[in-house]
Order: sequence, then C-alpha cells, then structure tokens
Amino acid sequence: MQRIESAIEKAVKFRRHGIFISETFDLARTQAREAIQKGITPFPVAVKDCFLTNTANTTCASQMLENYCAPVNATIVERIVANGGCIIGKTNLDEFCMGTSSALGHFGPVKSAVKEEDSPDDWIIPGGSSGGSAVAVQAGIVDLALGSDTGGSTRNPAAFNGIYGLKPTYGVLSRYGLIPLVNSLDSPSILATSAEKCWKYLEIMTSKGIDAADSTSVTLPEESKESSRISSLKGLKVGIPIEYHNECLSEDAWRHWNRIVGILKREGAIVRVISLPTTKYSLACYSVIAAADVASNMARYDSVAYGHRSEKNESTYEMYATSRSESLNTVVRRRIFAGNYFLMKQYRKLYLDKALKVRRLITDEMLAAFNEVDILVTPTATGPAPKYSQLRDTLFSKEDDDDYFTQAANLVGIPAISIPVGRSDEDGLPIGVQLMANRLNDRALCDVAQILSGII
Amino acid sequence: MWRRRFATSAATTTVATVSRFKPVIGLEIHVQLNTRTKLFSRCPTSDASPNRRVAPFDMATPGTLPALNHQCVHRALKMSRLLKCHVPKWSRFDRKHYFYADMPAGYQITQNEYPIARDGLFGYWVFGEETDTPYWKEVEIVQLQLEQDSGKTINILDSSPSESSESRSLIDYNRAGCALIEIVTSPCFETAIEAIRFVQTLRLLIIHHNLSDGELHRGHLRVDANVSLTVDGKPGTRTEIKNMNSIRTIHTAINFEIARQFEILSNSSGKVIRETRGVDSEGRTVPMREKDAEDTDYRFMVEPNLPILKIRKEWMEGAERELETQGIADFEWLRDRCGFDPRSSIHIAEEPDLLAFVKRCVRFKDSGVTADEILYWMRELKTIMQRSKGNYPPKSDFFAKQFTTLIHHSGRLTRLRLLDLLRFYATSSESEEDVLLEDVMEFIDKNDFWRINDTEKIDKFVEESMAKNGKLAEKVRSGHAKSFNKMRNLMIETSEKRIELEDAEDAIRRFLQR
Repeated sequence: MQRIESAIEKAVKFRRHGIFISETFDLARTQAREAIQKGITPFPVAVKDCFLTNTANTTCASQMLENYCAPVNATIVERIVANGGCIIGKTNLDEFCMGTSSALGHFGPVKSAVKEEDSPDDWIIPGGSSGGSAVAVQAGIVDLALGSDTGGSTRNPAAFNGIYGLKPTYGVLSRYGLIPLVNSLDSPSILATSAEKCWKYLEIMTSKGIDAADSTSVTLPEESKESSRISSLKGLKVGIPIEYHNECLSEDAWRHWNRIVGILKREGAIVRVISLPTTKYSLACYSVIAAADVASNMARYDSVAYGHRSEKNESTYEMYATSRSESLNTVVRRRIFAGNYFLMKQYRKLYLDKALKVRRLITDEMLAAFNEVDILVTPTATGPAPKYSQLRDTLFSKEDDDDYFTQAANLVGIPAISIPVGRSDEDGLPIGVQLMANRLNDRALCDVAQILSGII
Repeated sequence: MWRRRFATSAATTTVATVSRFKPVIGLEIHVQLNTRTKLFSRCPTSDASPNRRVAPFDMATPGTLPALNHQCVHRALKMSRLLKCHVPKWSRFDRKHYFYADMPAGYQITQNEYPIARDGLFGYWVFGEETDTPYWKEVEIVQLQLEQDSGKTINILDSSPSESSESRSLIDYNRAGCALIEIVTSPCFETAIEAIRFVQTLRLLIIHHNLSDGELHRGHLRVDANVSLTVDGKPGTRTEIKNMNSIRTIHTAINFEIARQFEILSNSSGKVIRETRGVDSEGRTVPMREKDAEDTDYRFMVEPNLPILKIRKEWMEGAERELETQGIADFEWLRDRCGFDPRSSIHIAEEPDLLAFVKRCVRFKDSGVTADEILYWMRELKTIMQRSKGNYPPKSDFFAKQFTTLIHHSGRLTRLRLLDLLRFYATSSESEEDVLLEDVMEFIDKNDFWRINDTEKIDKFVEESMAKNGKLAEKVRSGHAKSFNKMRNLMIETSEKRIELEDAEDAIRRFLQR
C-alpha cells in the first residue's frame, strides 16, 4: 500500500512532465486493497492510453476519443491487475501512436525527466510513441509501464530515458483491447527498470496462456522457458548487422554499440559481422504497410456511435468529414490519406502488394540470420534524445531516422529489447542498445540482456 | 413403384422476347445463418429490442478483435456441399471499405479474393405457373463467401407540427456482425421464373438443413438480381435490383425490369443506365442509387486480425456426415421418393399444413395409391372444405387414414359416394368426433355402399325406375334430354349412389334400345 501511495505522490510531483492523460489514483488504491485481500503484493503500473480500460477514459491522445470510455478492459490490463498491478494512470503518447516524440498529442507534450529542464518552451524529447509510459518508469513513479510497439514505440523511449523496453514476439501478448496502429506489427510491450523485471511481467501477463479473443495470439513454448535459458555469454553467437551502421548513426551511439560488442567478445561470445542488405528497405516497406492499415483502422471513427462529433452535420458525409478533420491531427490525417491511396484498385499492386513482398524478403533474411547467430546487437536509435526544438526545426524527419533501427523487428515479428548502456558525451543523455532474438526466444533474449547489464 | 410423370427435357423459353433481345439474369443471395452467436463475436443473435444484442466488437469498439465462430464455417461447408461447390484448402477474410452509418467499422469483413467455396453447379426443376412441362436446369455458382451483416438504419419522420419538423435516423446494431453467406450465381437465368424457382428450391434446402430460418420478409434471405438484355447477342448494360422481400416480388420486379429495358432498347436511341434500383409496393423497379457501381473502389485489404482459414479434412467430413444424417429435404422426398411432380413437390413443401397432411397420407397409403391420385383427391377435398367452410387440410391422423383408404378403393365406389364420404369424414373428424367414427371400410360394409358393377342389377334399377315413374318414362322415351338426366339422377338416388353416373346413362340407353 505504501508503494502505491508513494507512486501517487511522485505522479503528482511530476505533473508538469505531462506523463498522464488520466490519473486514476482512487482506482489504484482500490486495486491495491483488493490485491492485499487476495494475499498479493500490489505494485504501481502505468498504462499507455491506447489500451482500453473500462474505469478510465481511453483517448489515444486524440480529440477524437477525448471523452471515450471503453466498455471493456484490454486483456493484458485485466491480467496485470489480477496479479497485483495497480493502475496509477493512463499515459500520454503520440496521437494514435503515430510518432516517436510524444510531443504533438491533443493533451500536450510529454517532457523527459532525465535532466533538469532549462527552458519551459523547449524540452528533451522522451521518445515515443510510449513517451509517457517511459517517463513514468524512469521517474520512479511505477515499477511497470505498458507500452505498445509497432515500429519501435517502446524501445525508442526506453533508450531515450535510460530504461529497459521489451517488445516480445508478435502475438505473445494479446492485442485485445489495444487500439491498433498496424495490426500485423503491433506488440503490447513492457517498460521497466531491468531486463529481469521485463521478463517477470511478461510471464505474469502470459501465465494464463493464449487469449482466445485475439486470433493471432501465440504462446511461448513451455519447455523453451527453462531449456533455452542462458546463464553465460560464453559461446553465445552474436551477430552485428553491418547495415545498422548508417549515415544517421551518431558518434555516441556508435561508440557505445562498439563498447558492448567489445564486452561480449571479452566474455567469450562469438561475435560475427553479418549483412542484412534488405534492412534498408524496411522504412519504405513499413510506411506503405502502416499507412494502409491506418486508413482502414481509422475508418471506424465516423462520429456515429462514439467519438468527437462536429457541429456541422448538414449531411451524413459532411458529419463524417468535419468530425474527422476537426479532431485528428495532421500526422494522422496524412497517413489516412496515404493509406487510402495505397489501397486504391489501381495502386494496390504497385505499392501495398510490393511492400508485402519486401516484408517477406526482410523476414526471410532476418530469420536466416538466426540460423547462424543467437542474438543480434544493434543501436536502438541514432543517438541520444533530441530536444523538441531540434525536431521541430527538422520537421520531425529525425523520427524516421530513429525508426530505421527498430522497425525490422516488427516486420519480422521477433522479440527485441532496448537496454541502457551509457550516456552521451556532450549532454550525458542515456544511450541504448538493442538486442534481438529469433521468434519465441523471449526468455533467452531477456537472459542475455540481464547478464550483459550486470557486466556494464 | 411411384413414378415421375413429367418430362426431363428443357422446355422452350417462355418469355415473350423478340429474337433480338434476350434477358440475362444473375443473382446475389445473402443467407443469414441461424447460428446462436454472431460471426466474429460471442454475442447471441436471439431477438431483442434495439441495441440489446451488441458486443463491443459489433459496434467497432476500437481495439476489439474478431474471433471466428466455427459454427458459421461448419454451415458454410454444408452449403458448399449442397451447391456442389469446390472447397479450396484455405480461404481468407478481407476488409471491404465504404462509409455507411449502420456499418460501424467503416468496412465489412467479407471474403473477396479467396472465398470459402467456388465453382458450384446446382440442378433444380423449373416450371411455370400453370401448364408448362417442368424442365431441369443447372445454375452456376460463382462463389460462396462468409461475411458480416450490417446494422439497420431506422428513419423516423418527425410529423409533429412544430416549425422545425425534421427526420431523424436511428441505428440498431443488433444485426451488425451477424453471419451471412453470400451466394453469387453466374448470369445464367433467362427468365424470372428460372430465378424464383432457384430461390424457392434453395430456400427449402437451407431450412431443411438448418442453415437459416429462410424467411424472406424477415431478411433471412435477401436476393439481389442483376438484369440486362443482350441485343443481337451482344451483352447489354445491367441494373441491380435490391430490396425484394418476397418470391412474388422477385418475380414481378425482374419481369418489370425486363420489360422496362426492352422498352428503352426498342427505341434505337435508348440507353439503359447502370444503376441500383429498388422495388415499390407494386413490384415495379424504381431508381435507388444513381451512382455508377463500377466506380466504387472498396479498397480491399486482407483482414489482418484473422489467420488464414484452413479447412481441415475432418470439418468437411463432419459437414458431409451431417447432411447425410439429415437426409433429403421434403420437396426432394415428395418428388424423388413419392412420385409427386416438381411443381406440387415445391408447393406442398412450402406449406407446412399441406406437407403435414401429405406426410400422413403417405404414411397410411396403400401401395396402389399414386401421387397423382392423392393430388386429384386433395383438390376435390379442398373444394369440399371451401363449401363447408371447414379447415383445409384436416389435421387428424384418422382422417388421413380414411382419405387414403378411400382413394385406394376409389375404383369400388362411385364418385358421388366417395365425395359424400369425404365430406362426411372431413367435417366430422374436424370436430373431434372422429373417436366415435368407425373406420370407413366398416362404415361402407355396414351400409353396403359399394358400387354396383353388375349390369343385370343396374338394368333392374332402370326397369323399376321407369315403371314407377310412368310420365317421366314417357318423356325419356320420346328423347327429351332433361328428362333423361332426371331419370338418371333418380336412379342414382334410389341406388343410394351405388351406381356410377356413366353406368346409369348406359343402362337407360340400353333399356331404350330394347
């Protein structure tokens, strides 16, 4: 109970960072009491505001869902609460998870708490889209934050905030109740302060097996959990994909990536430089696939049964159009536009069908790599977190540069974790490194991350 | 052996088309499955007041996901077999995008590129309203697809006298997400009759195999027709007719549309517009949507939340086993096992009371009774019941037994006696007095109602009647026709209807020639 009260206290203290869209302190207290009654130790949890909760609004940081309260809880929310999780609040994000800055949402930006702010108009970007969730963990408010990861939305803010972000194998965590961005890429994900905790929470949320409500749900093979455990880095086959050393990579990120590879070698790992030549197409591939899904998924926001409704409703179509234009931000509207274009009869073959083929190539190439190596090690982002002003001045193009490092894991559906490995030279901002493993090797991935973190 | 008595060759087409124009009709039939729950949610499908049967998924709550109801797949597989379709090893679900107020997700989950079944060939009998010889036709099934139903928009016209009287639209999502199978036929029908006989046959089949409740007026079966006329063999522009909610409407609407297009095309400058048309209360087609259907881009994409649907061998076997256990439908049984002609088979099967009566008759019938005899005497019985204001057909087992017994012995009874007995038993057994009635055979025996066939005996009746009625006999002798009939009736009367009409006449003639 004390842990919950201190979490609430901290949440209040950090309010100016824009971490939470809804604070659910009373709910957390009730859940804590219920947990104690069942003999479970309660722990504070933050839930990204794209997961449905039936006791607090779920907004996706959009005016469209400003007052939306869902009729059900997301499966993983149910499961974490059943195991002692107490929801302190729903965390801020990029509108409908589109972005990696958490800066443009309807309820204002999330501001990083890794360093003292120097000006109220500029701030260090917390990364995104699960920015609020990452800061909630970094600031010590909660032990666990639920994020979602479609192209890096959990790993990126984990790296920027110096914490751990685990995107499990696609399908391991149920998507039921996660408002979709790209259905075939979305992975509910975990933000925590260690790799061990990431695994612990993953285990809790998968302990009841697959979720019948999510037809794409898979279960981690029971035997792999023990037999595939890794207790030493000795003999571990590590791949370093050369294509991740690209022109966007900063000096800081490069140096830390090298250092980690050095440590792995020293610990007896067999390190090989490998090539994943199609990786460079992942950004283009992702853009097309994502836009198509976005156009489709967002079609439900027609203001008829729920959501923002415009005053202008002379005709049904006018009501749809104005309600959507008024309440969805530019990023979202652009993607809807692009997606509808890619889905048109005359362009689908040219773009979407091509992108799906490229995705298959990227997947085959990556999976083939896992015949040779156990773990891939790459940077998580181009460098440390930028400032808001930097992003704004470059029209947010840096977002795409960062996505480059994380998207492939989503396209392939493999587990990936970002671990903090050090700080940038100039500003002392956190730098992360990403580890990836083959599908369903989530346990081994967390083990390696844990051992490695212990050595650093 | 009960035998069919109808021709099996294709009859000549009946529509009055001038040789230049030939109607081409294709059907899209939406069958609402009667599964307990919806296609992708566990929401019950039972009747309820508006918006009481809506799971979060059904109203497109963001973040909710579809989970396929296996019963729907099972029924689709049964339907595939009934329509002799090819079932590929796997099929897939697609999203079809368009905005409509009662379609909450902005797309419908359907099967576009890889449907659950395709390439079927379904045979059935076509017959006209009256005298045409039935002929066998095979309809090509293009594909069978599983898909979601939409909700319903209810338009309320505000009739209040206030100055701001405006109409409102309300939406009921109860139907949203219910399971449909869409059956797409090739444009292989040449007449409205061919189209409706197919729908009638299909309807009886799906009801029999418990795939759907099959009520057209309740929307369980929704039929859209594509109609065009080829001109000198060249394909013409087609129109789509929607909202036909009875077999009769389908018939009149298609015929109306054929005539309308004929009228347009007969004029050398006339052009049929490609459009969607509705149907008014008289069965006439009326413009509904102007927009060119060819231009609608549904922006299809694969439904990403459902894995590919792989059809397991045991599913197929299960479907086949169930079809076999359920056996043939009533209309097929009547037609193929009992020897009823195709028209009567469908007609009887469509009327539950008639069907029950015929089933009872078949149960009690003696081997000598044919389907045609049953049909003949049912028509007589219907006339009797109309005159006596009784219910047709009588519902009791007892009556059915007497009915078939009488038919079996019809050769040994005069027609008038038989009608009398039918009337007596039909009206008495209705009033539950049948427990007091004796078996018709006993009754006949006791009263000696059997027909007199012995010419000597009949001749004796003539002699007696002529002797008793001297004056009338004189007139008969002089060749007065009316008196002849009178004498005949008198004779039948005295014989207590044991002499058949023709026999009586023959006997009088014989008497006169002596």
